[in-house]
Amino acid sequence: MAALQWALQDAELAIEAGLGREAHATLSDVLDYCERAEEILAQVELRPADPTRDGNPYVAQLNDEMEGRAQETRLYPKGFEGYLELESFRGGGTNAQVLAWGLLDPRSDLQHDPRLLQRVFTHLQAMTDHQLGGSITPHRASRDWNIDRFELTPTLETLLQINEHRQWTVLPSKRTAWRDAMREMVQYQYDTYGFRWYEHSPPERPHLYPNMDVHYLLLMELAYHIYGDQRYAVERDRFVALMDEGLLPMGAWTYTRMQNEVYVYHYYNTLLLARYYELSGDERARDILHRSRPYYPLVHTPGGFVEHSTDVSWKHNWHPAMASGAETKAGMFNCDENKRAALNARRHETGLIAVRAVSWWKDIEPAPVRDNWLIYDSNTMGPRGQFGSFSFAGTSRVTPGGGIGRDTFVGCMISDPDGDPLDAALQIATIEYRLRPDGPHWQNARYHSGSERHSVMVADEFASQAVRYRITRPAWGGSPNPEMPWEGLQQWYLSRNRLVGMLTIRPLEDTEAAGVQGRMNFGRDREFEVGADDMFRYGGLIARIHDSNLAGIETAETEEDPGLSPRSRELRLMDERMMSGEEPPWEYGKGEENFYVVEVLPYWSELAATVEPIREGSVRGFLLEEEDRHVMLLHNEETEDTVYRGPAAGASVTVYSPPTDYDGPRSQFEILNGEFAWPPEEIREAPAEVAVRDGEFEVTIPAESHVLVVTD
Amino acid sequence: MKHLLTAIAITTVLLVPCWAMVGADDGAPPPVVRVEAEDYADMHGIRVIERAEASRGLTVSYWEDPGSWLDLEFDLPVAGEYLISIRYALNWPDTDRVVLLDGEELGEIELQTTGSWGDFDKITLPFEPLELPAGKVTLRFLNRDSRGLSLDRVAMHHPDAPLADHPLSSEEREKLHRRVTETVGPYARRVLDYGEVEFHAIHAGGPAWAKVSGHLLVAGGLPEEDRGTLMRRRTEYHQVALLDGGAGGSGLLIAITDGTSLHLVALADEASAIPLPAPVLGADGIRIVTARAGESGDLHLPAGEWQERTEYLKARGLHITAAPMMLARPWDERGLEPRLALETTDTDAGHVGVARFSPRWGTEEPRVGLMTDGAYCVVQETTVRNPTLAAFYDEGMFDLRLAPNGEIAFKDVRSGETVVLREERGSRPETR
Repeated sequence: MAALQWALQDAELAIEAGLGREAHATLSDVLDYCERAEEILAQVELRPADPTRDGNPYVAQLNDEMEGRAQETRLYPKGFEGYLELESFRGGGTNAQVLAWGLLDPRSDLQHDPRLLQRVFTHLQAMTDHQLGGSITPHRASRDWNIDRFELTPTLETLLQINEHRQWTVLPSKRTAWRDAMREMVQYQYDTYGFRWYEHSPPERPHLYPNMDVHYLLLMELAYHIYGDQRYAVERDRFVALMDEGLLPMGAWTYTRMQNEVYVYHYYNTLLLARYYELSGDERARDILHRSRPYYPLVHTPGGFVEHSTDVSWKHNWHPAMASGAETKAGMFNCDENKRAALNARRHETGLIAVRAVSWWKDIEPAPVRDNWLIYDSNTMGPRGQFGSFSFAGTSRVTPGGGIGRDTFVGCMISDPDGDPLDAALQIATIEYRLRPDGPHWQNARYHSGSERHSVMVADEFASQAVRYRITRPAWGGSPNPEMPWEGLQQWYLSRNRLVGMLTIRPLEDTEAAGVQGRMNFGRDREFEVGADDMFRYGGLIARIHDSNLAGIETAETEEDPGLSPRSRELRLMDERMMSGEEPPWEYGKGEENFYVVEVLPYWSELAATVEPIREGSVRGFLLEEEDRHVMLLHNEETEDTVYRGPAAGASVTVYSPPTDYDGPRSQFEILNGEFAWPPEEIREAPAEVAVRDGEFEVTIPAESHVLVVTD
Repeated sequence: MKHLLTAIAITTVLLVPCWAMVGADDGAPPPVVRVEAEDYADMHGIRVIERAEASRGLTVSYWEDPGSWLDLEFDLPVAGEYLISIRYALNWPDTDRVVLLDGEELGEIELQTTGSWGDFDKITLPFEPLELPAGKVTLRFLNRDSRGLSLDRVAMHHPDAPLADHPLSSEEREKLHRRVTETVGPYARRVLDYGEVEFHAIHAGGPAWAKVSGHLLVAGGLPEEDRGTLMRRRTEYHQVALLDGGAGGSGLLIAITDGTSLHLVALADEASAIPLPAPVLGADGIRIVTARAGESGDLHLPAGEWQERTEYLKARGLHITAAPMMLARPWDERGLEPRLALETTDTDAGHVGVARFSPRWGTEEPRVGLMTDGAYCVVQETTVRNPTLAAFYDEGMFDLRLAPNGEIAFKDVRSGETVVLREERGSRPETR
């Protein structure tokens, strides 16, 4: 009865839109169903309800939401005018999948509810009505090609579910219309996204786009199930291989090409690949997921947040940790580490996609909470540490063949298990030259990195990294990023107590600019407090500017732009020209350096006793004195080794160097191919003892690398 | 509990009477006899009124009618030279009084305005020292043809114990300094090192003393107007602590500031409320801090109210630190929210109440660090000490340990410097 009522309403919409033939076909089917009611009802076989819930929080979450969704009444007008009324179709596909779960799953409180059936039909019909030549995105205000895949995959999943469990409720004309429309959309994806497109990627810029690829491969699998077309199976297999290719050593996937993964996409990759495995039984998918297991335990803080500094520069986010990806891996592999990661997330996401974790959830014992660790993260190719509620990460991953560069190499945050999941984060630390004195950074400043020369060192209690890079103009859309006649230098020290960094920018030729500015973005949703001695407090984090030749400092709200989140505030250090009040542009001579030295620490750490810049010849770095340690970070920016002599007390100093000429695995995670062995035993360069003579030490700093000279 | 506090360095065990600093050559304290105006021997046409800022809360006033007068009787302990000093408040631009000693006119004085009836000032009357025998004398203050005056207290005292008049001339300052350095012995000189204290500012006489130990300045017995001077020199010290008797002479009040936060520590050995000095109590009866035994509480003042209260306190002469001015400005500039927190406790050392005026620490409420350690009462600048936040908010760190025997140890945590103060019982004269 619900299906017929829905069909009458749909016919009315068709009449309103002038679609007489469609209305006629629908109404004919209604009449036919009425005449054959007994015959049709005789086919009905409903799955009985399953009263057991076994504590599955996802079942509870879906049931909590279902009544509200059942009460939705939105209709989608038909015809082109109706199409244009909708700004976007975003979210509709997953909604349909959730509704289908509510209608069909034996654990649903509203199983067999006629309202849900009508809502599912409304969506399938709308998808049918609102695709033009296989896409739902043409003529939309902001056309995002990915929306097609985001929406079509769950819609196709819904169609599969309805076909399997409620086919008798679908009128023949609708069955044909839905099937044909979806087929057209699948084929559109096959033609525009699939392997043929991948094949045309230039070899220096290979196609890797896991979060889209996984949608596509599941789409192909579903299409293969529904339409039985072997081409889709072949395509699916090719993209399973790509998911393997995009998997990084410690379980992350790449984002695009070899860019660092963006946290939220790992979740899509996991849930959709798990669903593919569920549908297909393809052991390759299970194996990929198995090897991806280290990811969530690495990135979920005990406080329930995730750092986003190492994300690509246009995707810094403020997502709290989400449980369902880790729950899926925990359930698939009885993995206590992922169970811990899921529990660390503390909350089950309110997003609809949680429906995909329902079938994987398992009540297993979690691993103990880990604390006080510092490792080399091969995913981001940088240090990653967590000490209580303070954590930090760095990255040195570069993208072969270009790609938008980085706007930060480090970040840190306070994520408190007993308080807010995110108390405060340093999201970005950079230094830039301006095209205009004010306005959005992405438009009016240049700071993205290119041609990076990195070195990273991770020791037991501290880590360091240094980089020399060209400033580039980001070329959105995949073309190479032009290099600007400016370059940057950064040196960072990271430990349980603090991050200390020196950031330098200089022109490579006489040039003009509208100023030079240091910038640090903190988030989220707080205001800065200004303290004594050039200190700024953002929640539990304190930033202290120890030295700079920039003239002024101010706090400001971060503008909305593609690379920055609007929920942050920033510290801006402006050069003298920007502070002069005169009109730009101003001249900048070749080699003219601007820099700042900053310490960022949680408020419970004691301030460093001393932080002083070192700027001698080709060596940049700083001297740091903290509680029980005297550290010199010495970065040699040149392409030749250099010898550095410096003062030291005692008989010897300890010199820590980044690993050299080592391309093998960096940690046991890699050696064991994703097996857990916590803490991972890392391949580290043993520190060297260097004698002090006449109050001086002498050390050779490798080309384009750095060393840490430490006196305890 | 009467307190006579002597400053000694932590490494020094010798107790030195602070009178030695300004006392007579023989080391005996110079005589000071104070009489409250409301304790008059006789009068005509005056009234005694309550005023919170007055000593003991009472003052003589409403004698603007010509011919009104007031007699005060003094019992001089020893023969010798005496000056007359008065504490008064005056809202008029000026007023005149004729002063008579045992019926003989000493002269007519003109008193200048103090700004309001609530602002009390002290001056020494411009008469030559009087050679007087021991025994009773009567001073009369006569309004011959002038206007009103709020007279709080009158003192007769030796010229070497000036109460308050004006900054000393260079000659006077040199003379006084010479007397001190010549009088006190080697130990005392070391102990009573004035350090960076502006000697000429300590013109109030009385039991004034100061101790500078590196980054730590502890002083006591200073006149109110000099406390502000000391506080403005705060940048030279991590911590400045000023000690004073409670109103009416009972109890002890210690004001500690680092220029950003201000702690008022009140100590008494009685179970009743500790009477704090007038500036801490509002004229309208609003009690900013009470230290009644067993009571404890927080009072949070919104910024607007705080500003108002700051002015109020300033107007009422919270010269005990002059800190409100110093506090408010850096707080405002840095967008910090001022807070007031109160705590009280009973300990073997006495009944202790602490008021903390400070900026808010982010989302945290600053709490007074008031705790016991055995028989000691320990006061810290906050309950949970955090050096980084203290540096951020430009707040110092101190430990104040109050012992049952009256000993007070004051330590600057950053430098580790300590000053120990010990009570000399029974030798303290009556104070205002």
